[in-house]
Amino acid sequence: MPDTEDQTSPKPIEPPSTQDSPGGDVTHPTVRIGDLDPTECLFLLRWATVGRVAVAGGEGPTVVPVSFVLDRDTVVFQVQPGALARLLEHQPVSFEADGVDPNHHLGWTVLVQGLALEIDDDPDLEPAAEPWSPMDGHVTLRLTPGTITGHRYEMIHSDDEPCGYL
Amino acid sequence: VSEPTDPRPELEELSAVACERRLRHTTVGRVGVVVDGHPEIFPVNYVVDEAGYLYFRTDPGAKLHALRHAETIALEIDGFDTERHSGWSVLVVGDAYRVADPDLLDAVARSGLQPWAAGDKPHVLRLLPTKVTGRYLPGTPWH
Repeated sequence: MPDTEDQTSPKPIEPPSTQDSPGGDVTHPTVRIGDLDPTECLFLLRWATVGRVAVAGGEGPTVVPVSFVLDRDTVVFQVQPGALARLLEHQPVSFEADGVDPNHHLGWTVLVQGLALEIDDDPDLEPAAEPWSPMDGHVTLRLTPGTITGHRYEMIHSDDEPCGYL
Repeated sequence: VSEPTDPRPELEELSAVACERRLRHTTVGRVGVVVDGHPEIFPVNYVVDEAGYLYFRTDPGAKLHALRHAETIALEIDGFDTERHSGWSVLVVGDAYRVADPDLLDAVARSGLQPWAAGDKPHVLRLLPTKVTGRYLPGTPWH
């Protein structure tokens, strides 16, 4: 079953909850505490397994989650064959990963921008043990960074003012 | 081409109701915006109003902070279970506008989308969804 098909009644603007926050508990106010240099960005990417890729399309940007591996400072990921894969091979691509360390109230986000090229399958590079690896047929892409930028955030403790990421 | 015995399940589409439900129960998403042909992605906290419009703040350093006209952007949310190898994602595409109405800004602030620093004048963007799609990857059964 894809999901429970229950009707959601209209609600007023809702306060954030921590449920389903992919990066962890990020409902505290955040303050940008510094830029990350490319070396720091790559270090953080080595510890992440899921990111998002974005590409410009005819109807606006497309953003999809991907499992990835970092290989010689490039981002290798897989998508299903089709329109998205073709777009990714012919347009500038962005890849983003982020994370939160709730124990130290720190968060980070890294953005890689560059061009992606299809590569041959390499079992050593397949992020097959993770979600978002396509199953029945896939295109493996290698994103070579043109730019790597990142920021670190500190989350401010506040019980009565739940707040956002950026 | 993967091997025909690949046990991983196929992606399934999420219904519109399921997409909306997940949008209302998630607070962190990633915004995609195209700047001079180059896409950018950044994480945001967002809130949803009863009409289904999405609101998020912009980082003063972000390109969207200077938004003066409607711009087509994307907001993506997802969740995954690394042990079960299952996951889902919802992609909202639509036009974003800067919110100028003080009453609406107050309502958004009361919802929990606060300024990120004292003295900051937050720019709040409102995303009017024109296309919402979702997909779901059922978990791989244990062997």
